[in-house]
Amino acid sequence: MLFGRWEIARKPPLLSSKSQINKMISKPALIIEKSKIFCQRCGQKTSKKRASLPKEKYYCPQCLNFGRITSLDTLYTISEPNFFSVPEMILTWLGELSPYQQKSAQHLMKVVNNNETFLLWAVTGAGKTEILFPALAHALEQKKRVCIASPRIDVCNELYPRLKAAFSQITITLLHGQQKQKYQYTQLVICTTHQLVRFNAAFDILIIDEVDAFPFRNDHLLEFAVKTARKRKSALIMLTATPTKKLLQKAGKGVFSFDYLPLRYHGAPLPQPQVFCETWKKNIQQEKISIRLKRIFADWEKQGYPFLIFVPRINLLKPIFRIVRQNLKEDIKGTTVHASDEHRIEKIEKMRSGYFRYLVTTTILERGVTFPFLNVLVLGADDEIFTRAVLVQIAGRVGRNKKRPTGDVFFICEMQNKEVKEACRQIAFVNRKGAVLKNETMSSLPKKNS
Amino acid sequence: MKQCLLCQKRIVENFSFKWLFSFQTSGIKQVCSTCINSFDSLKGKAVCTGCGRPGNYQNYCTDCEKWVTLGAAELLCNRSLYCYNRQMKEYFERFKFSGDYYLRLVFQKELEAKLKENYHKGWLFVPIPVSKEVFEKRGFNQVEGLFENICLSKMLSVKKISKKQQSLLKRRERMQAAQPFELTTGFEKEIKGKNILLLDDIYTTGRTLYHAQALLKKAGAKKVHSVTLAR
Ligand SMILES: [Zn+2]
Ligand SMILES: [Zn+2]
Ligand SMILES: [Zn+2]
Repeated sequence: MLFGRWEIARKPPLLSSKSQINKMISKPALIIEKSKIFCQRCGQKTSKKRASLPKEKYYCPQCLNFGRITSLDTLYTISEPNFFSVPEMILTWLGELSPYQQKSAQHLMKVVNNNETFLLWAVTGAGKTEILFPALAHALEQKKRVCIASPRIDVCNELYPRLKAAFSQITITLLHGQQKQKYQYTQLVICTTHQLVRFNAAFDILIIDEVDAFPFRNDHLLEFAVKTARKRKSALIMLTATPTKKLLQKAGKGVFSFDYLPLRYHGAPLPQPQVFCETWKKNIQQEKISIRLKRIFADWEKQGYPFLIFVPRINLLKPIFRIVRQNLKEDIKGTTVHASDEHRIEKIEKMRSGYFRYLVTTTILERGVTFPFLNVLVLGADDEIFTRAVLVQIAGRVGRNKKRPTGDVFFICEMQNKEVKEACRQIAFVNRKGAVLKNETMSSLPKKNS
Repeated sequence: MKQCLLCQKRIVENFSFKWLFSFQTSGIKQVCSTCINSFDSLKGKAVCTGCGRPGNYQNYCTDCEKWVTLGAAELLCNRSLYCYNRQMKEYFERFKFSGDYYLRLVFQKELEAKLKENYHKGWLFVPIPVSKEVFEKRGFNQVEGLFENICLSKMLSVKKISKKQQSLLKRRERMQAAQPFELTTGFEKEIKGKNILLLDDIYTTGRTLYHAQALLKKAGAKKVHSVTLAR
């Protein structure tokens, strides 16, 4: 239990063997400084005022979610022994990588072997999970301990069954705040980045999926957790479909190595969004929509494909739904859905089964949720909730299926803002990279951000 | 940047009239307006004069009548600041059970104001204690935290129960029936003829507070009433 992981207690844990007792490392949970306390678990400093308990005792408020630690506690651990028995057959996945994926997979293999830090920019629908498989299999065979972490719980939940299927002989622990499974010592761990706080020099390979969702800026705690959960000599792989400027800057400066996977699994580019400016808000208030939108809906009605309409606020769902419904034939059914909607799963299921043709929604829905043949429209793409990353993700919902690798993406706004422009620019950029890659067919990938 | 203590969102310095209003009347500190508004304040609402539960009652609610028939010397005339709703439940989970002691500040000012307004003179303020075990584990008594700046008379302690007694008391009903408190040594003489205001975090069934009342009455207290944060 203690291998590569902190246990917090007021008394030393009972260990079965003498050798383990000898290997146990301990340190006080909090270091009390003059006006601050320093937490040795999460690496954060807190003012004494914020952290005080009666009788000159203290607690760390910053990692409270992982069970409170106080100045009475001690941290115990045993350094990671890589005590694993490796099964004969490691990779039980039978799928095949596309030539584009293979190229990236080979690169990852090198990253793992050389213990590099690496960022992979893979477009939505590139199949970045599968790209990891060869490198993971290779590492697991060498008894290395591997962790796949993501800032988002839904991403972890989606990865878990896929990795369980791909590495069916290997037990995997899934850890996040909304999940009650007890911690088990396993070679492969899937967890939220927050859970890394509980580990200490445990992993030979740490993969962070959707690293752009990582609040690097405000959250020093996570940064500390990533650093301390890895072994000194280890590989760090960051995956993203929508890299932040900061990540690209760091890559440009050579802080870590970097590569693109600009083509989707089926080899088609991302659909380029079409941006239109109009006073849609005023129109909605007057219960009408522009001729342009009418035309779009008429066109979609004829096409017969499902579609999503994204709106920025919950209170816009009903009025917009009403107007959309008025502009469609009566037998075309749709509904509204938002993040904390009770019937959310049921509605998504009905959308999948084809009962609903469209959803008016405030949320981007889980990453695993994809609808083939989809068209999308964002009303109010210039609203603050639609960041560059969210817009790129929305566009990435379209054209996922080989049978229809294209589709419509419309961004409707009052005025084009920076985020909208950057989202379009980023998509155009990866598509250019994709075209180059396609032309080069099988020659080496471009390496530097231009 | 100021963060809301409860939802961690940035408190926007956007002084809408409503926000300013709710802030001033509620007195909740370091908390955003959304969080403030999801607490259910009992301020200005009709309540049972016996236990402070919201509603229109001619005399007392049926629960309070039951306390009278069970032999309570007088009703506690309990007053609470808030309804125990989902937001309050979450608050207590974090404050008491996760142990984020700093959250005591959220309601401190308002509780102080309540005591100043209605229990101005001639009251001894007595917090409901926690057991030694709870104090060691939690590191604090939540009631003393909520009333940190009030001069408290800690005259109640939780009785120590030996292992043997514990097994005898295993049945829940017997546990509830037994007086859990005793007087802290040294306070015996201070109680006679005094008006005592019991302070607690939550009034649920009233059982704890009536136990405390019975003990203090026996020791000669004149009046024993109570104030809690939630009801
Ligand atoms: Zn901490
Ligand atoms: Zn808040
Ligand atoms: Zn009552």
